[in-house]
Amino acid sequence: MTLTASALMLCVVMQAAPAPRVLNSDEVIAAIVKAAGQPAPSVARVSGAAEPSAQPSAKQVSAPSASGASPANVDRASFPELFAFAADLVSFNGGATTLSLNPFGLVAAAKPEVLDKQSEYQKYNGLRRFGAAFTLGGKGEKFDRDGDGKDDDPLTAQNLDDIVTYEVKYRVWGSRDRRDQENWKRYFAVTSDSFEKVDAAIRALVTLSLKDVVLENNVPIGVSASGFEARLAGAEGQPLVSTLREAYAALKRDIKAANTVTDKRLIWTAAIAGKHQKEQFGRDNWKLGLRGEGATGRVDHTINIDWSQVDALTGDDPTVFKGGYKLACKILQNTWLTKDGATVSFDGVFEHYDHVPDATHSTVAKAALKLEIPLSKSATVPFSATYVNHRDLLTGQQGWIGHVGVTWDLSPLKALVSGATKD
Amino acid sequence: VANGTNGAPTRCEAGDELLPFQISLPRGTPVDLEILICSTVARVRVWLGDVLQLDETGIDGVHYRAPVLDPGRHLLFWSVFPATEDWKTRDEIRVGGIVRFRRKKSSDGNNPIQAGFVTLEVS
Repeated sequence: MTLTASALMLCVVMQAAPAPRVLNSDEVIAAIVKAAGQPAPSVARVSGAAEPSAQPSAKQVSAPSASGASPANVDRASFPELFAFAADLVSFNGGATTLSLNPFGLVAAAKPEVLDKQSEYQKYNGLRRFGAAFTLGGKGEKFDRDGDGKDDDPLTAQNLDDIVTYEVKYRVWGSRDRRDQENWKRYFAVTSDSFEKVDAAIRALVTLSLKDVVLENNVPIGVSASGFEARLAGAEGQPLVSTLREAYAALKRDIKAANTVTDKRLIWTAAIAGKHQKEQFGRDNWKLGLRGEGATGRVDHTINIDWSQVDALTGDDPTVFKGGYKLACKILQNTWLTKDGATVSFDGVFEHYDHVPDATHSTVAKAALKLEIPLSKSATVPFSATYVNHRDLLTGQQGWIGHVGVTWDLSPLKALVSGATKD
Repeated sequence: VANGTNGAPTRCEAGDELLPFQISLPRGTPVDLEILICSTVARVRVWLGDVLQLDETGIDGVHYRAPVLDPGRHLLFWSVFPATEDWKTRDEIRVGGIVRFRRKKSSDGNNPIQAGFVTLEVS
């Protein structure tokens, strides 16, 4: 009974005088960044293999072969992720087998340190520019196979080598990979001042924390949590915390600005693609393409150039050239008219058809100037002026689009100037 | 150090953390700070007291050796600023070749900078 009472008293005494909480250096940093409204850095946990998916995105523009005639309708889908792995290497769809070759992805799968170590990563800059895809099998084309004047349904390949489709891409110029040297050098240049201010502000607060050091046997073992928290909230700490908070805000603005430039860098991709198939499945064809996409300053550019040729059954091989360019930028931002800004864009397309039986015209030229003014987040009023070199291209449009537009036919002006009325 | 295959820790994940607030050492003992940088490139600054000792871009990491320190207490402070959103770091302080401090950080905390410090008591 006496023992129990003594134990109880001891317990009460211990509760009445809890040991002061002591912060180690890591916890001091965490308290500082928390006071400035920032999340504390996390401890690195073992995650196994360096995961490629965790790497910064390094996409290229899509293949020119995917692009339509007008860059206003360009396919903005990404080139397959450079870090696609074995699981994505082979896919099956509709009887076709597609092999996606991603040379750097294969290297990274076999040798994870190329992702872990920047020095290794940089060695493969050239390899990261390549991508290729091969599709074996699939369906052929609908064409007049038996000479009766009617198109026959396409045949399905029985063997993998019946139809072989390939596409090889190479990023000629530019990179949006944040780990590429030109991008991280710019990143550090843009963020230099703000990083130094954060560094200085944290260091000043760390120095302040040393005023609350806790000694054990005359040896510092940490910082008093309560003492430091009080000091951070007091006259000494508040100005420093405010400085850190402002420095963090500036740094985050600079990070965003630097990353925006990187993410919109102009990149050029060249591609060669083609299809080789046995006679009963259709005609062989191949194409060359060059595509550019990105921004210079506030102006976005999209450029497509395609040249394609199909093996003719008889006579000359039909060839098609298509070139397109689109420019777009925001204007009038933060004005009485619109906060987000209106979009002004120009796109132009030139197409040339040589020995193409279905082509109505041997050349097609289109140009459009558009101004889109947002009325709200969901409504936009577009104004546009369109030029085409053949009237039927203007009046014979099929389908419709989901906004109201104004189209001006300027061909009478051309007739007035030149006296010509043809086309 | 394992390279991350078969679930083994990477350079920045290896080893247990050691987080002493102060490291005591006799005058003249070499003090090395090594910061390993994984999956990114980072700008690193190292301060000894109020004097900037190092400010450089770490490709795989940075190494700093402190000068011979006078007896007394010194604050060794560093900050690491990675260039990309996914990163890991491991900071290690060796005194006379023996690891006395080890800290591992990652981008999981969503803080753009990782900073660290330790006090050196030189006798």
